[in-house]
Amino acid sequence: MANKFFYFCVTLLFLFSISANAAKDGRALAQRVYDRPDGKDSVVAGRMILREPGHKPRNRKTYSFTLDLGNGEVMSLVRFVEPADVNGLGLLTHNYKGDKSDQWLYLPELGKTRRIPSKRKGGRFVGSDLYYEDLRDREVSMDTHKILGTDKVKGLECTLLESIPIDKKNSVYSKRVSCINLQSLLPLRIETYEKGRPSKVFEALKIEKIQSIWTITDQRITDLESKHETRLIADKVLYNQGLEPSLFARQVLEDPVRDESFRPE
Amino acid sequence: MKVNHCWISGTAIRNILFLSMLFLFSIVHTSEAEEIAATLRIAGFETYTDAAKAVRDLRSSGIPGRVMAESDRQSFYVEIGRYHRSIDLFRMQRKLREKGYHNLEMRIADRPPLRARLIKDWGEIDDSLKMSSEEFATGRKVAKDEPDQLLLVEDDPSTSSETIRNTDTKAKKEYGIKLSNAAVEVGVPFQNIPRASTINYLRGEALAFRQFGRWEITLSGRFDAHLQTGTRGYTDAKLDYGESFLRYRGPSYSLTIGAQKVMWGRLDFLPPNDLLSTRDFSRIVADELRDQRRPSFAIRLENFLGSFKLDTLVIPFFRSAVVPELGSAWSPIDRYSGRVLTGPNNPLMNEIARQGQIEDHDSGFGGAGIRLSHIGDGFDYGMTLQRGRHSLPHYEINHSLLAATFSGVDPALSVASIREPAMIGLHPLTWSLGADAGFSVADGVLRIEAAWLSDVPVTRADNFLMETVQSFNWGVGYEFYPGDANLRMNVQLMNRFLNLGEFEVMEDEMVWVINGEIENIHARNRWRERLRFNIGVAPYDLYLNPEVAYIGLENNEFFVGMRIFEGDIGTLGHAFDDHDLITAGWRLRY
Repeated sequence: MANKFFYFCVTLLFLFSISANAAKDGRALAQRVYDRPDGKDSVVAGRMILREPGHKPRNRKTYSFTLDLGNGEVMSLVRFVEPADVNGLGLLTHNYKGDKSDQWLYLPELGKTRRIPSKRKGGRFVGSDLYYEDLRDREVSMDTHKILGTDKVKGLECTLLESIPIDKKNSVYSKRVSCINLQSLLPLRIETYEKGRPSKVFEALKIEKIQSIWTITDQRITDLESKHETRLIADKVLYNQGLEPSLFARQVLEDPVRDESFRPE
Repeated sequence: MKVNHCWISGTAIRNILFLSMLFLFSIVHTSEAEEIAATLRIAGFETYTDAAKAVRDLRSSGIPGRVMAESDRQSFYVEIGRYHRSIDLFRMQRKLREKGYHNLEMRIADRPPLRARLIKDWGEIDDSLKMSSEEFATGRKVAKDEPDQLLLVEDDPSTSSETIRNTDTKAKKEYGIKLSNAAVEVGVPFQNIPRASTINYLRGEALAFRQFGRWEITLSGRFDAHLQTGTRGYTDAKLDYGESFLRYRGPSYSLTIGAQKVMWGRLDFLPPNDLLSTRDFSRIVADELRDQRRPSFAIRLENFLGSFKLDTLVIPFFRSAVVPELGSAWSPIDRYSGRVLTGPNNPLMNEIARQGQIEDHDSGFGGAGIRLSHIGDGFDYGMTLQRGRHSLPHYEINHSLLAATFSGVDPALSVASIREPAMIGLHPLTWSLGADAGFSVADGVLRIEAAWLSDVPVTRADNFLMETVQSFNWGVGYEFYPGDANLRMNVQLMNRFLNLGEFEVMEDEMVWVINGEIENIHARNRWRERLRFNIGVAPYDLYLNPEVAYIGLENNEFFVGMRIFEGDIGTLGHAFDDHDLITAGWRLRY
């Protein structure tokens, strides 16, 4: 009887230790991905292509600027260039540590800057497969992480990382399963779940080393239900350009000409 | 015979003891003050500015540092200091890592440079310190034959990516000419409208601009055509200037001189602090918000002081609102029936409406204002002081006409015989002091705004003369997304209170209005349903504008909608009660 109890305890301890290790390793991997060097600042000339069976593709062109001030404080400015009816539209975001952020939209046709609800998570960003939540920084501590194993994406090895929100209210997704390439510390694929059901797949199509920083320069997001696709292409990426916080001020948001000199040719 | 009931074996105990010893040894080992001679630096800064910023940041935490250039002069590093004890070195490394500096580089005397990056979150220091510059920058092992690109799919030429490593920081010179705005709308009344069987509208706006350095010049013009069919046909076509200005951009300011639209205030619909802009009332409220203003000649200086903005505006020459021409279905004066749709109806007013000359006094000094506003830290706010004129006219009856009427002369005769305008549109100057704020509440944004005005024109009930009274206008609006999806609601509650004193006036002393917009965009931004509404609670005044639009073709909107009016006597809703329309049309914006 004592022997049986001994084996039972050992098995429990073993299972517990595996589970604890998976969680610990999962969090450590998530932290490494989060801490992955991505420059103090970045400038991206990007395109968004929306594709849907039976419809003509639609294009959006943007320039985005990001500055990491450290301590969880990140500033970003997205300037829309195309289509013409949104030319000059600007989205300024100041992310603070935790779930706090300020967000303003500049409407050139009205010449007005409007604060917009920064806690918005759902809703499709300019008709794409991205939710507003996908555009925002998500800290490691907001999810529980677990390593599920390994997989291969297009011949590249990756580690499966499951992330589940600790507070269900702060995410549209009930679960995300990412396949992290340990070489670049970038996700090659992310499967998202909503209310327990698979909803979208993010796939990295091209990863480039730019200024010694691994960067996804082409990715595809597919809505599993509608088969609608969003292709995100970074045409030009620049890191560590010495961007100043003044670029992320209202003066620039309200005057698109002022960020033109920072846009890559 | 059992000698031991413990279910942990002796081997296990020995293993635990061994691991404990190893753990203690590792603690002692890492605590040992090993004698070394090393320098520590934060490397990898591509610009001097970045390195200097890091030094400033470090010094604020009491950590010394200085900017040094690498021997190849292509990059910079921050030298932290020299260390003779490994424990001091590791402590400083940890301190730097906690501050977010990961690109640490150690140089130990008489050894090749070692590069290190602390990558373990729980504070351990990676033993394998030997890294290439690549590894140092990226924090991972790099194989010698590692490629610069991981191509996961066949390259698609249409989406190829070119990596660049520098940028041209010179301002781009741009110029161009374009059709910036166009609209066509066909309106069919679905009631037995006495004035028109269709109400149609066409607009086009072209713009030319050129930038040269800090200067920009913009010229634009517009064309508006109104075509009304039916028993009372009406056609009108007009050319007008659009925003046309010269702008100079200084380091922290912008100076703009010329015709421009400036709309102050925070609320989206009828903000109380929007005094100095020129309203486009030619189709009452049928246009999009962006098209409900016309430019007026002004000098504007925008100063940016951190997160503050000081906006100064001077309008040397007043420009009155663009109002519907007499004969247009949107005119509040019905020439045919002799009714004044938004004012009192008596024999004199009816005669003026039927045959009187109506003129707008739109000359004089336009006004000036100053607005200080701030955004950030979760709370946006602004304060505005203005001296200006309401662009919408307040109509006053000619004094001699009034005198003749009060003395018993037949209104038809007196109106027919007078050579001066029978009714004049006035725009008295007023002071306006206001404040507004916007901040997040729950999952939405709350906007509040208030303004006190010193001189708002009213019409006395006893003698029909114009007086000016003080007014307090305020509003509160909430914008949110029910269900956190694509449905957006923006609802405002507005109030205007007139401080009338002892005399009675034709206007309502207190006006309450609920207005706003409900919008749902679906099918991947291809379709939009929208309801614009303005509901006067007291007095009752209803305007509803439901609309379905196809917006899937970039820059274009094809829409079908309705405009529904209803209200108490004297309100716009009552004036256009028989103008309920089914509308269809197209809008273009470039």
